[in-house]
Amino acid sequence: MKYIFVAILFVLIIATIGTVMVNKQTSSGKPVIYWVTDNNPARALQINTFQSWMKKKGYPDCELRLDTANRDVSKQVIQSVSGVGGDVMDCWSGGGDIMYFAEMGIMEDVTEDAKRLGFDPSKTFPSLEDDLKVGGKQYIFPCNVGASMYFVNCDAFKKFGLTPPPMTWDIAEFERRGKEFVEAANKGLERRQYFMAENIDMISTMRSYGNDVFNETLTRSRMTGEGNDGYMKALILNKKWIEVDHIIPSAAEVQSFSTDSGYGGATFQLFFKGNFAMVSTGRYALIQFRQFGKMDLDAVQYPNGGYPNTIIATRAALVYKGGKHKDLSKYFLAYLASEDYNMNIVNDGDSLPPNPEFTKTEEYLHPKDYPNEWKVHKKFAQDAVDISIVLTKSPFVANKRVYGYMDDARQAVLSNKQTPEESVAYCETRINEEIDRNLLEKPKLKPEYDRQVELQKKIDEYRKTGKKIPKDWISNPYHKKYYKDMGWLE
Amino acid sequence: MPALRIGIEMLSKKTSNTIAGIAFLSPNILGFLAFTTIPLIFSMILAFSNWDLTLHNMFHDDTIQFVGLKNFIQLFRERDFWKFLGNTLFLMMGAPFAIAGSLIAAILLNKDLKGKKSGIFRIILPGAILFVSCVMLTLVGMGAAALTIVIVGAVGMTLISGILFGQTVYRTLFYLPNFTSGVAVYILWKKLYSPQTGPVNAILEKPVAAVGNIVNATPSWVISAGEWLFLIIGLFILMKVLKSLFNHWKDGDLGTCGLGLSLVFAMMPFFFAILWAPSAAAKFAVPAIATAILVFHLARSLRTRDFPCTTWHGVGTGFMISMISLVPMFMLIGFAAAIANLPVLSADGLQPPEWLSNYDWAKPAIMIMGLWGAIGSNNMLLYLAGLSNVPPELEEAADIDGASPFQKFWNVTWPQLAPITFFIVVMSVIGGLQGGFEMARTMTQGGPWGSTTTLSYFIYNEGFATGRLGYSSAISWVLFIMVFSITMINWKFGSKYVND
Repeated sequence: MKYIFVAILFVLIIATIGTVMVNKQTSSGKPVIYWVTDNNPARALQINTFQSWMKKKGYPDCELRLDTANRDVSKQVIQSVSGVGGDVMDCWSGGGDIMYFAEMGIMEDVTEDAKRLGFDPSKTFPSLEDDLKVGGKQYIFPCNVGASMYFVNCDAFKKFGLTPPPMTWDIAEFERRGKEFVEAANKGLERRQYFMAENIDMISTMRSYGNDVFNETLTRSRMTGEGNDGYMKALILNKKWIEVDHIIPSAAEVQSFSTDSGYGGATFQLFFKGNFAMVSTGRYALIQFRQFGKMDLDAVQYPNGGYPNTIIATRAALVYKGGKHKDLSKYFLAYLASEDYNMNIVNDGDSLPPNPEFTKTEEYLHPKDYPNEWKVHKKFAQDAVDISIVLTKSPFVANKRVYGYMDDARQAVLSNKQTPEESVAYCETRINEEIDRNLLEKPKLKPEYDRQVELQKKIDEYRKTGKKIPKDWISNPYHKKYYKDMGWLE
Repeated sequence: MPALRIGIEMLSKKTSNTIAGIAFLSPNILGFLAFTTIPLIFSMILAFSNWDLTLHNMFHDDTIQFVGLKNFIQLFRERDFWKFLGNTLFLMMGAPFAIAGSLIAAILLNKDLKGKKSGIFRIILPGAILFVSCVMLTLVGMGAAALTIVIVGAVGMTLISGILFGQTVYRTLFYLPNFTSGVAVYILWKKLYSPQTGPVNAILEKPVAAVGNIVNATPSWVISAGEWLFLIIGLFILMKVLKSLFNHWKDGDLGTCGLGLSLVFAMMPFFFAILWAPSAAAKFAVPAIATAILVFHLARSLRTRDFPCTTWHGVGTGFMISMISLVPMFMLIGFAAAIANLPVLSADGLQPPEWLSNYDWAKPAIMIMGLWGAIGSNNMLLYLAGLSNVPPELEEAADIDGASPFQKFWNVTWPQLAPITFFIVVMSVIGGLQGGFEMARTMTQGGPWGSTTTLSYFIYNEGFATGRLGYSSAISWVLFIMVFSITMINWKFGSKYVND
C-alpha cells in the first residue's frame, strides 16, 4: 500500500511539472490581461481587433485572454475581494451590479484616464452617464448598449389580417390591438397559442405614469399615495392582460411551449414562429434572429400612460483595482470607444455600439445582408437618445433587493396573495426598511443621506408651490429627465 | 539488552506504521481542515460580526466589529425568515413518505426473482404497466405530447429489460436518480410539469376534468361532508395523540413541561385550520372542537397521576409523538381545504395544476420530485443491505408460527430494520433542513412569491445579493442549531427505541 501511495504521489508531482511546462510553452512572454466576459463567439474577433488596434496606436504590446468561466456576479465578487479578480471584467448596469462593485471598492477609478485616452462619458450615449459614474467618478465604459423596445414580427400580424402597431402607442391602443390580435390568432384553437406580446416592461409602464420607485433624492421609495400609483397601475394592467385579455402569456402558458433552447431560450424562437408577435428586448436579439432566417422586423416603443420612455442599460467593462496590469487594462476601455471596436458591434448586431456616432453609419442603418431589419436600426438608436433612462439605483440600499421586492409584488398579485394596493404598499415598506437598516449598518452613509433628505424637503416644498427646481438637487436619473421634459427644472 | 532491542524495534515499527497511517490520512485531514473545520469556525465567529463585503475587504480600511447577538435579533425580526423556514419545514413533510417509499422499493428489489418462472416482476407487473401505458397513450391521443411517448417508451424498455435480465436491472434503475446530475433532473422535471404540454398534466387532464364534472354534479352538502370527513379523521388522530400523551404523563414517562410542549405542537395544525379552512364553519368549529378535546383530556387526566416524574422528564418522547402526528394532521387539513375549494375550481371545468408557476402547487410539485429522488436513493441501498441482514431463521420461525406476510414484516423485519431507519430519519432531517438550494435556483428561482425559497437559498441570497456575510453566517448557524437540536432529540429518544 505504501508503494502505491508513493507511486501516486510521484505521478502527481510529474503531472504538476508537466502542467507548468505546458503553460510555459503557451505563454507568449508578453504581459497578459484577462477579460472576464461571456462565452460569445464574437469575442474572438474583438480580441483580434484589440491586438491590431493596440499595434496601430503604438501602445505597449500585450496579450488579451478570455475568462468565460467567472462571469457570474457572485464569483466576480468573491474573487475580487480576495485579490484575484480578472484584469478587465464585464458587468451589467441594469441590476445594480455597478453600484455594488463600487461600494466594495473593487473598481479602478478611470475618470482621468478616460479623459486622457478618450473614453469619457461624452463618447457614449448621454442617458448612460448615471450608470457610468458613481459619486462623480467614472468606473466603466460600455461594451455595448441596450435600449429596450418591442421587436415586432410583422408577418405575425399580417398572417391574421392585422396591421403592425405604430411606433408610439398608449395603453388603451395596446389593449385594443392586443385583444384584436389574440382573438384573430387563437380562433378555433383548443388552447391559446398566440399572444401579442411576451410581457410588458413593468418599470417603463410605471414610469410612463410619471412615477419611479424612488423619490427625487433616492432617499425613500415612493410608490404609494396620490400621484404615485404608477407601479400599482402597471400591476393591475399586467394581471388583466394576462388573466382577462390574454394579450400576454401567463408563466404556465410560457412553460407549456416545448421550445426552450438556444440563446434567449424559448422567447426568441416563439417570436420567430409568431406565437409571440412582439418581444421586449434590446437590439442584441438580432444575433439570434439572424440565425433563424428572414423575418419582416420592426420595432415599437412600449405602450405608455402619458410619458413614453424606455430603459437603457449597458454591458460594460471595468478595470479591477487589484489587477496586475491596470494601465494596460485601461487601454482596453479606450479600445471600446474606438471605431475598430464600434464597427464590430455594428456589424454583428450585438446591441448598440458604445459610441452613438456609429449608429449614423450606413453599415448600421442598412446592413446589406439584412434588408428585413432596416426599419429597426434607426429606431433603436433614436430611442436610446430620446426617451431612454437608466434604471434607478440608490446608494442607500442594495439595488438587487429593490428590484427583487418589486418583482415579488408582481408575483404576489399574479398569485392572488395580495391586491395590487397591498403588494405595492408592502414593497415600498420593505425597500424603506432596507434603507433604514443599511443606514444603521453603514453610518458613513448617514451624512450624505441627511443632506439629501433636506434637499428632498425643499423639492417637496417647491413642488407644492409650483416653483421650478434646480437640476443639481435631483439625483434620481428618471426624475432628472422627467422634470426636464415637463419643464419643471430651473 | 536483547529485550530492549526488541522493544526499540517494535517501537520503531509502531512509529513507522503510525507515520504511514497519518501520511495516508493526511490529504483527507488537510482537506477537511481547510475546507470544513476552519471555515466552520470562521463562520461561527462571523455570525457575531458585522462583516459586510461592501465595507470590509482588502480595498477598504473599515474593521470588522463584533455585534453580539444583533444578527440573530435581526434574523428573528425578519419576516422572510419565518416564511422560508415554513417552506423548508413544509418540504420536509415529504420525508416520511420518501422513507416509506425507499423501504417499499427495497423490499420489492430484495425479492429473489431468479429461478421463479412466473414472478410478479417478470410478467404480471410489467404486463400491467405496459397495458396502462398503452391506455395512457391512447388517452392522450398518441401525438399530443412527444415527451409522454418518450417516457412511456422508456418505461416499456425498462420493463422488457427487467424481464430479460432480472432484478439487477431494476436495482440499477431504481438507483438511477442518485447518480444523475441534479440540474439535469430538475430541468427534466420542469418539462414534466409543463402545465399545458407536459406529460404529467397530459395524463391528469381527463381524469381531473372528470372529477370536475362529478363535483359540479354533486350537491354542495356532499362536498361539505367530504371536507368534514377529513377534518374529523384529523380530529380523531388528535384525540389519539392527546390520549397517548396524557397516558405517558400519568405513567410517569412524561413530565409536565414535556406534556405542555407536546400539546402545543399537537394542537398546532388545528389552529392553522383558521387560516386554511375555506368554510367559515370549519374555520371556527375545528379549533373549537380541538380545544374541547384538549379540555376533556385535561379534565379527565389532570386529577390523578399514578407515577409522578420530574418536570422535563420525557420531553423528547412527547416531542417525537407530537411531531410524528403533525404530518398526517396537516395533510388531512390540507385535503379538507382542497375538497372545500373544489366547487369553485370546478365551476369553469377543473384543470390540472399549474405546478411550478402556481404559488400553492409549487411546493407540492417539488415534494413529489423529491419523493421520486428519495425512493431510489442511498436510503434504498441501506434498506436493501438491512434486509439482507435479517436472520432468515427469524422469518422461518414466524412462518412456522403461521404469521401472515404483514405480521412477519411488522414483527420481524421492521424491528430488525430499526437501526437503519433511525439512521435514515436522522440523515433525512438533516438533508431536509439543509436542502432545496439547487431545486429553487434551477426550477423556480425561489418563486412564485418566495413559495419555494428554502433557508439554504435564503442564506445564499443574503450573502451575495447584499454582501452581508456576517448576517448570512448567523442564518447558517441558526440552521445548524435547528439541525443539531433535532438530531440530538432523534439521537436521545430515537436510539432508545432502536435499542429497545
